[in-house]
Amino acid sequence: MKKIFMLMMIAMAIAGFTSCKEKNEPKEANETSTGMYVICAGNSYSKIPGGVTALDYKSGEVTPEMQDAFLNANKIEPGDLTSGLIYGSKMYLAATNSNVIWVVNPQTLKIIKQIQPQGKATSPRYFVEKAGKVYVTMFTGYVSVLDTLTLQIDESVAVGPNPERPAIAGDKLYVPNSDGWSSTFSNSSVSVIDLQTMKEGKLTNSLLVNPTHIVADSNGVFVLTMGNYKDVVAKIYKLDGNEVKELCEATKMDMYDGKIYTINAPYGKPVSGYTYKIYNARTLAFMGDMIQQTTANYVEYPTDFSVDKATGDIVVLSYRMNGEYPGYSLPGYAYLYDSKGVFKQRIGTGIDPKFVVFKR
Amino acid sequence: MAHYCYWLLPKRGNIGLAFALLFSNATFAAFIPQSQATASKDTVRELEEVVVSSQYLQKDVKSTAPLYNLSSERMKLLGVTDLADALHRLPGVVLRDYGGAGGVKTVSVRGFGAQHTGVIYDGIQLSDCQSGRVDLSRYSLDNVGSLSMVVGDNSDIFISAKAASSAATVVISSMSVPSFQDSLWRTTAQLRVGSFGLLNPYLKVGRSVGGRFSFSTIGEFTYSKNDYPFTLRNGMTQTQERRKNSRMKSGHVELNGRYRLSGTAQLEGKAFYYDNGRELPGQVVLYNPVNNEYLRERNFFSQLSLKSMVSDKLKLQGLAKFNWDASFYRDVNGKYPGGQLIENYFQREYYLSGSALYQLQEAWSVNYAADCFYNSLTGNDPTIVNPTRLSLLQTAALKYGRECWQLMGRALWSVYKNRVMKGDAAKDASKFSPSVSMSFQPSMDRLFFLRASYKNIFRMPTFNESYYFRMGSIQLKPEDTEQVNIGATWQRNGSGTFESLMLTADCYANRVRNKIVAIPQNMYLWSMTNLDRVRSLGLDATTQLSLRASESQRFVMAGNYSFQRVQPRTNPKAYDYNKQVAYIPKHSGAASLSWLNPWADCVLHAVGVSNRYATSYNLPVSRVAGYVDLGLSVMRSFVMGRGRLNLRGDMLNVFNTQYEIVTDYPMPGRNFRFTISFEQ
Repeated sequence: MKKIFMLMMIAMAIAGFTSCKEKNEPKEANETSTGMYVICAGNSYSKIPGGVTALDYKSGEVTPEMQDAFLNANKIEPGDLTSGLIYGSKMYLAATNSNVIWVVNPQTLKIIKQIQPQGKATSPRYFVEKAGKVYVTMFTGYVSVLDTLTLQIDESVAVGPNPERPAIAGDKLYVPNSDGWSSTFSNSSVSVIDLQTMKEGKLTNSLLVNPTHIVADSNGVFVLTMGNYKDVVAKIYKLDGNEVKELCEATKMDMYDGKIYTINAPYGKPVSGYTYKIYNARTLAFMGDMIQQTTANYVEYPTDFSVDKATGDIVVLSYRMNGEYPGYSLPGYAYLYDSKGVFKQRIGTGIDPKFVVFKR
Repeated sequence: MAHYCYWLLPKRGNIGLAFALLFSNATFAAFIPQSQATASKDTVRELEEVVVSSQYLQKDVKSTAPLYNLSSERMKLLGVTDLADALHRLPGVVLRDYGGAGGVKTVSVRGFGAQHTGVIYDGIQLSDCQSGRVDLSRYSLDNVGSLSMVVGDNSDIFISAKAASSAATVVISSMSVPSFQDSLWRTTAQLRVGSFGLLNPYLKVGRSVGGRFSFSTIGEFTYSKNDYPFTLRNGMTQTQERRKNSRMKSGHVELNGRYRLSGTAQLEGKAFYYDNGRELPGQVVLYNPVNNEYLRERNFFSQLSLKSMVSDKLKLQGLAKFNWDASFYRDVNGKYPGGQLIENYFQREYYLSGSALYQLQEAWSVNYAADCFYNSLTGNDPTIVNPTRLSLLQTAALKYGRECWQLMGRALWSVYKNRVMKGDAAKDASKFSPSVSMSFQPSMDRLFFLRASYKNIFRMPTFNESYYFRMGSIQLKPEDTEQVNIGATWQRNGSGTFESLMLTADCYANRVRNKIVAIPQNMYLWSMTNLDRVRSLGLDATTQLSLRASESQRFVMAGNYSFQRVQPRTNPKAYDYNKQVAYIPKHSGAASLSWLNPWADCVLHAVGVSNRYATSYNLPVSRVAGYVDLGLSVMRSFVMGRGRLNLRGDMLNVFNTQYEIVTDYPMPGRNFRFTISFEQ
């Protein structure tokens, strides 16, 4: 039971995040996206494999082949995909329970290499990249360093329990250790790894309960904490030395252009009570709504979202409602908005859409 | 992975207490007057009598509700290989089977969830207050004297109140003790070996002492590696794999006794201990064959029953039971705090039942029964709230029985009181549940019977549903069911080549309201809610034909077929509305052909299930393919002195069909079993 529950939580808990490209890679900064991939976890209890839904902006539609693009490119299933990353000429996909990191061609999704982490550092979750290395959090409590040329895992650094979506600011790698498998989250922390020395230090604060996502840029480092699902609600905190400063209540976040984008979908509230807000990362001031909801294309049940770091466009992933409740084993939706939050398009995705990767 | 049910505490003091409780039952016996004639009829005995009266047509033709019975002789005749196979030979049954000798097996009937199926073992209902489901893989067929299934309300009036509290009931009666007249030692020694490292010795010894006391003792051990090969389909490719982490060691000992208090009163007792340690191979996960789950389950129960015929008109029955169940679950994985997850659960039940049957006039009889039981759950995890439940069930039943008519009405009044050691308890419940049923024989010259029945019953939320950490809801209401059945049995006996033919057909309509399901409360949290409505429409049919080819050769054909249309009816706008509920096949059935001859009896038997879906949305991608599993059994007995030597060989899944009952839990392909037994 506990396992089912935890898997459900894990399956549902984690938000979309495209890593912040380093400003010193000008080649990518000016490009616009040509399409996007929606990473779907599927649902193993319902015999539904994970997959990748591909959308090419030019054609603007998702053909049946594109709906299950990984399978069609490779003839095999990817496993229960959690997240993905395009960095340089390669795309990386993580399948947690299958314990696989797929290295694929970002245009065709053809497999370049299948990496099966061995030893203690297994169950890959999320990626972040810098200077020819891809850092991947391992759910067993590690960050592994993947060399993008040799495609080998160079080393693994122990972090806290159940690390989730990390971020890099300067020479520091920030890893949220959710302690998601404990009932109390008492070992929640943020690991800070110096990328020069690969030395890890831990930052703890009683307010940081169940951190699952970190975003960072020159304005600061922000931690999303999911709380304890009881009396401690989900919030975003800004790290300030060893102190933390509350930004707002939220259950999902992303960062773009000095702004923190948030969705707040708290326990017990109907979907109509969910909020989509933007805050200034420097002043922490509320700046306005992230998207303009329309009656015709109201987000049915948001699971994750992402802001395109090239254009500021927003994609919100959603379950499909089955009557009054979300159908977690039904195909989902992706709602596309422009950088001002104006609705553009809705596409159908695979089952349990988890993560958006923008294609350059 | 988390379908296993975990439970109760092995504290020696408590076992002692249980014995004390059971033996204090002597007081209970003392106030029951004793007079003539032995044993009143309980469910089991009545079924056994049917078995004796017609060896090949066991179905109780006069039953007012569908009743299917398989005696051990009949199971042998039909080539039944294990308890799961026996259940497949009953119509309307959907078995959940996680594969292999160590796989959990639970039974649901006619579209009701497995929690609605009551399992009665030797007269007293088994319970699992944590998951609500009874794992039938614990009970080996070698020890089963008869297996029967009642859908709705049995026409048997003299049953305990708890036995009337399920939508469907599976009744297992173990092999009984030697009769009082028999003064010899009775011994059965058996050894079974099979594919994938199966080794299963079994020994039973019993005798009668002094014409008043009879006992038997049973010991059994099963070892199995269960590392069977299977075909893994991955996208457009497939590979051959083997199940891993699947070893099982299981033991079971049992002591049975029967004591004649007087000519009209009889005491029966049983002590049962089961211990099973098994690795769990888990669900097949692409690219990751590593699974380190281990589960040990221990179960002890002791029970006493007292039956007394006070007068020609009055019969009394008292039952008492103590049960404890312990489960120890371990999963080794770096993702857990400390590198492993340990979940230990302990369940206890104390049960008392009294029942009286009074014959008003020749055709009328009336029954009152009261059951009281107390369940508790504890465990090692600090999030467990240590729930308890006190239940008081009372039934009153009235029956009218003439040659051609059987009419019965029963009312059940249930009171459930929930308590917890910490936090808030789930809602209490008290409910009134009526049922009526009838059977009619239009002509006394012909063996043609009609039946109709209605039953209203509910199940309480399980402790998991009410209290499971973060997910359970104490606001849950009971899950309500209603069922209507009409059916007919036709039987013809002949002489010469044609021996007999029997046909049964039953149509039903069922409704489930307030069905308990898990729904997401927001992106991260799920909780249990009374949400769904489900409607089932279906047809169950069975047939059996017996032909005598010559003096010494006979053919018996048996078959059962079920059509089940089980539809979610919660919200017309929902995607699952009117689709087929997950894992329930529209068509399923089993058939067997037995050739009985002086050389070696041969039985060809098959189970078939149509396509199912792993989701109630019936998405094509979640389709679980249908299958036919064919088996062949060959048996021969030799007389040796005053004993008998039996040899049996089984080829299972002859065509090596690769199939799954639960998605990504592959079932074994072709495999063999050999059994040698000696009884005297």
